[in-house]
Amino acid sequence: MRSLRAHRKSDRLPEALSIQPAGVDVHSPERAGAPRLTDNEGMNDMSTLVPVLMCAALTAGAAAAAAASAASFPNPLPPDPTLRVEKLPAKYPAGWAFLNYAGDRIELRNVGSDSREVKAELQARDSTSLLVSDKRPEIYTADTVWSRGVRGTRTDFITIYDSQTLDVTGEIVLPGAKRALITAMEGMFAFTDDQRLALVFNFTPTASVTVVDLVKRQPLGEIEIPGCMLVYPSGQRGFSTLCSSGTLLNVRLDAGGAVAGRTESKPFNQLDADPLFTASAALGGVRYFPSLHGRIQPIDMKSDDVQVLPDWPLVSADEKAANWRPSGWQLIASDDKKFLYVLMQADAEEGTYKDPAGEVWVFNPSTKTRVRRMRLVRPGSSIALTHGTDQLMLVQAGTRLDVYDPQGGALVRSLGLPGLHTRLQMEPVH
Amino acid sequence: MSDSWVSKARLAATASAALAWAGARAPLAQPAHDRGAATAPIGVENAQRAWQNWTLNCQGCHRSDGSGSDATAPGIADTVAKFLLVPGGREYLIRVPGVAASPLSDADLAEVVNWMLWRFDREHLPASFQPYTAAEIAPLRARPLRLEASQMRSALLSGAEAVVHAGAAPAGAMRADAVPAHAVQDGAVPADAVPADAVRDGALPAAAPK
Amino acid sequence: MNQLDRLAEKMLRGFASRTSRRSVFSLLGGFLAGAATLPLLPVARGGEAEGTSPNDPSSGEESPQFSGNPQDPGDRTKCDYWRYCAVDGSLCSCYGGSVTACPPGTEMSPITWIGTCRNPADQHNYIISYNDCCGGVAWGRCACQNNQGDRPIVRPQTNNEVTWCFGTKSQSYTCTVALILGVALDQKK
Repeated sequence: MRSLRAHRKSDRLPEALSIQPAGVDVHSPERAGAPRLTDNEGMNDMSTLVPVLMCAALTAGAAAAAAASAASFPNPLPPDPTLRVEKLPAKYPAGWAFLNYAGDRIELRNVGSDSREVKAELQARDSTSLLVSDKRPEIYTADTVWSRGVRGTRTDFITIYDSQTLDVTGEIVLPGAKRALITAMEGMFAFTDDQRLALVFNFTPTASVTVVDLVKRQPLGEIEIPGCMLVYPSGQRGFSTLCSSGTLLNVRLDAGGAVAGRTESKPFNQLDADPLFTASAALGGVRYFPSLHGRIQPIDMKSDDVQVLPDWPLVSADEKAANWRPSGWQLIASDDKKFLYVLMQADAEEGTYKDPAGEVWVFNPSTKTRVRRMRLVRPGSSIALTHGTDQLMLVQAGTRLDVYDPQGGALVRSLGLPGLHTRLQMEPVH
Repeated sequence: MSDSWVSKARLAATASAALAWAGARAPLAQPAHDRGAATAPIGVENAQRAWQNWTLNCQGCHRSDGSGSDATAPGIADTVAKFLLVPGGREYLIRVPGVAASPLSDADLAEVVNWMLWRFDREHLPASFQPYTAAEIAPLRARPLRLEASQMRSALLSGAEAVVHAGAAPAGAMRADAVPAHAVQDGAVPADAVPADAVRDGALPAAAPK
Repeated sequence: MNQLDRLAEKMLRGFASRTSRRSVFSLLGGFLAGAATLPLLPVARGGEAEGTSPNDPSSGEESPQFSGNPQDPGDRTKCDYWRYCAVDGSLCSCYGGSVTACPPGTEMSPITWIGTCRNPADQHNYIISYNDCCGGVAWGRCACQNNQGDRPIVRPQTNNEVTWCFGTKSQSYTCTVALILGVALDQKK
């Protein structure tokens, strides 16, 4: 098979090693004995350096092994037990994360150590959304298939997986088959009522929300929200949705999933002058939305009395003049404690708001100030922080997942995201 | 400023050619009895602008022919003017979220709604129809409908259908033999930068716009 | 090496048969370090230069398609063709369709999203309808993501991330066309 990169002008690989699929992590386990990427090497062009070293190491290793064999190992290896299947731990370690490849697959990946293994994979067909429970040992995906591949009868369904075995323990078919097909993004699928209920955002292009009971495993009903988009959990049992009139519609649900009450805010989302991104990060029940021109809009969604709080700027006057703006996809994350992490790019202009960003700026919303600024080794589109202690900062940059220390900004390791051709939505485990 | 316009001469030539063509294919013509308001859109200062606003903000979901379905976005063709026949319907048309939340100014919104009523459902326009104005639009769009929108639509529409069938509409409103606006044939106007249907329907004035 | 080749080929096949996602990266040519950002098919490239558009590494595979009309210039298989100023998805010109027609076996959605692009030949701003073709096979060939005039999805008619396959028998995304609807008046944005 010809090299996939044979015609790239920048290809500097030696001839013998030129056959290499694009995007595959060169440190996958089968290359035992190859040198590992250590700290700070990520700044260099790894793709040419490492394969050359690997070639040398493999040649040396093969010669040595041949000499030692017969004498050292008088007995052959025993046969293996068959039909074994790996199981996941009951509590996933904090360095693991779900990576949603937006309609190709969802990977459970160990990003917290240099072994970097893929731990498991979940099916993802079209605009798949993921919810991971920490109240029950279950994982949920909302997905769409057609009975004959790309055509036929459409079925939308929630799959319920056991979090240890990844056995499919249940399925909830969604009435009407009208889920929003908008790629992997926040706001399509959300928990509420302490993860007893799930909310599915529908778009036909009329907007509505399907309420699902995850415990009884059945749909409860549908609530129309014309003129509004996406669902963000708010209050004890309810959701908020962003409306094209620049307002926030807040809906409270009763125990049966029906509407118990609603409020609508005054207009605050400046859809012409400076619209909000729909990506957000939460700290202490307050959800923070960056705007295209560099403000941050906090919305307190802790209680049923949802409050749009005063916004504040992420950029100084000079930075604004240099067109520093938030940029990317899943472009804001929180550390669950105190700080927000926002992907920022200079020289932004019309049409660039989804482009990868070169820096991460860290903000303290209590003081409304920036506390840190970090340059990325490669511009990134999505950012997430792992939970628990020893937090890591994950940045998806093209088909690389760069893992950083969020304090100093040093690159800890870099993983490949093979086959990623579109958005990545990350969900580190709790 | 005007570099995105076709030249005035070209526009006028195209428009009159199109209208002449339309005249030659007579079945499109309005019924002989005077339909007053329905021979041209009223409350529309600039039909080209109205067409553009419809195209950029509404057509994407309501489709270029104004048809619709329960599964997608509600139909406009043959339907939208019916709401004017029942109490509450006139307000409903502005409080519908797609209209209320439109990025258009009050004046532009009034204009495009007036244009849509004529373009897609002129047979149901009452002869007594008073066009929307910016002043009427402003307070209505501040109160968009939400969860109750589709129920309200159903209720109003069944009331309107009853009015239509009972023939109890104001004089001149309902003509059983009226030619529906969307029955206009396609392809009438030579390919040009001027939108074909706006000229064909006469929504675009024959004189060149300013 | 063979193991990795087989792995790569298997990945690509899976990718080819199942991918229906339309949103793709915006690839800034200067920032691509290391691996290619889109998986590339293992076919002979015939030695032609890399794709001319930084947005589309696969564009070197397609033979160019021109309208033949000097008032409508540009290669319709490249992301920088003027009508594609706000396209997010794959170009139907690369799937057996064209700028104005869907590939055989698919269906054009009547429900669409609309943008405005400037024609460099006549300097007019044209209203462009980005209709999706639905019910066919998509795998990221000639994938483009341009966001001129695109805005967050709260105003859906200005957003290109939605799969605009509505009112069609299947909502499985295949590719996107770019139809001229008319000339845009100069209006304040």
